[in-house]
Amino acid sequence: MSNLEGARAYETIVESVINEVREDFESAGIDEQTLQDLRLVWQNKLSDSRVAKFMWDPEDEDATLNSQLHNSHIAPSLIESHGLTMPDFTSPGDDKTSSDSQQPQQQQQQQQQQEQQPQQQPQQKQLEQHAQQDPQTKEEDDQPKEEIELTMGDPDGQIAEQLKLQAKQAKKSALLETDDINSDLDDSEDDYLNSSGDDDGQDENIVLCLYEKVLRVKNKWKCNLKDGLATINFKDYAFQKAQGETEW
Amino acid sequence: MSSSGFYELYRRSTVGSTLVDALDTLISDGRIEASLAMKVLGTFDRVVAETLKDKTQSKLTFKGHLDTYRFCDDVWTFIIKNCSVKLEQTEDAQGNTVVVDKVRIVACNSKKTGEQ
Repeated sequence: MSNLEGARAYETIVESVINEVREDFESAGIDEQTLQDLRLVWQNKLSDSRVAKFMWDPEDEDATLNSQLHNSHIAPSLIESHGLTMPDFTSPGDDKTSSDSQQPQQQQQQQQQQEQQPQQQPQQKQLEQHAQQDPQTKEEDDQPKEEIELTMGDPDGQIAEQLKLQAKQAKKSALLETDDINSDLDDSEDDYLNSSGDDDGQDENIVLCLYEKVLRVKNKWKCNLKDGLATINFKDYAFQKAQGETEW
Repeated sequence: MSSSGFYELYRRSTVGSTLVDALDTLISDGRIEASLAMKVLGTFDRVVAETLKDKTQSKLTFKGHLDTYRFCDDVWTFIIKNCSVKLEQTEDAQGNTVVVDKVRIVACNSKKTGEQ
């Protein structure tokens, strides 16, 4: 399921919001740089969420990939080639042999770099799956398992996590309080969601939209929805209309 | 519904929650006031509604087992299990189906949006 339109909708939303609040920022005496920072932070957070591929994404990823390559491989290889060329200046008679030996080396380096790129992507995927693979690695070798148990038993780790949570809650309080005042609708809904005991947090598949019609015949429900944003399997989609047929 | 006449429900989406996070960062750094952040969120409510209405063409269909339904404060909430979701886009006709264990649908009344 492609989510091009979802990504484009998000890009439009970011552009429009930033442009339309410029006046509010100016009249509040906030400079343009702060507005641009808001856009940057917002875009980065969207990229981190990985719900879609955004037009501001690829440049960033290429840049980090290139810098990784430069740091880890290209720089050492440059030093090595410098080491090889140094004798050339001292003994010009050996030009042919040294240049001959250099070319295959350069080719090798290029090959290594080309091989490196596809290798890095699986590594990133492995990192993402790290949590899932933990049980497997525990089973495979015993010594790392002991290390993991030590860190788990460390009370400092738990305290640090609690502090992180507290800091997060404190940070959000300012905006959430004003939210509460504006709409008791959100309140009652949140209570419902929490009390029903199936609060999956951010991992859940959720569709936010408007309804046009909800029909029920016996246990069959049909609904016509529109103007929606959906998060399905960690990907976001935007839709103009939606139709659902479900049985209770 | 906020005073501007647009629903706040899209603030729960990824694009909304990341904006809230970004505004939180600026507030806690002392770079903007919370009142300005609320204005930004109000603008966000309107922009999302307009963008979805005017700039999207995709059609979504879903089928599944309706686990929970509720209607409260003019808001429908459905929890659908074993749900197959299909997206049909007009641009690339690669509409294929995704099956998920559970989907939560939160829907506000379309009749009131921006018409008050």
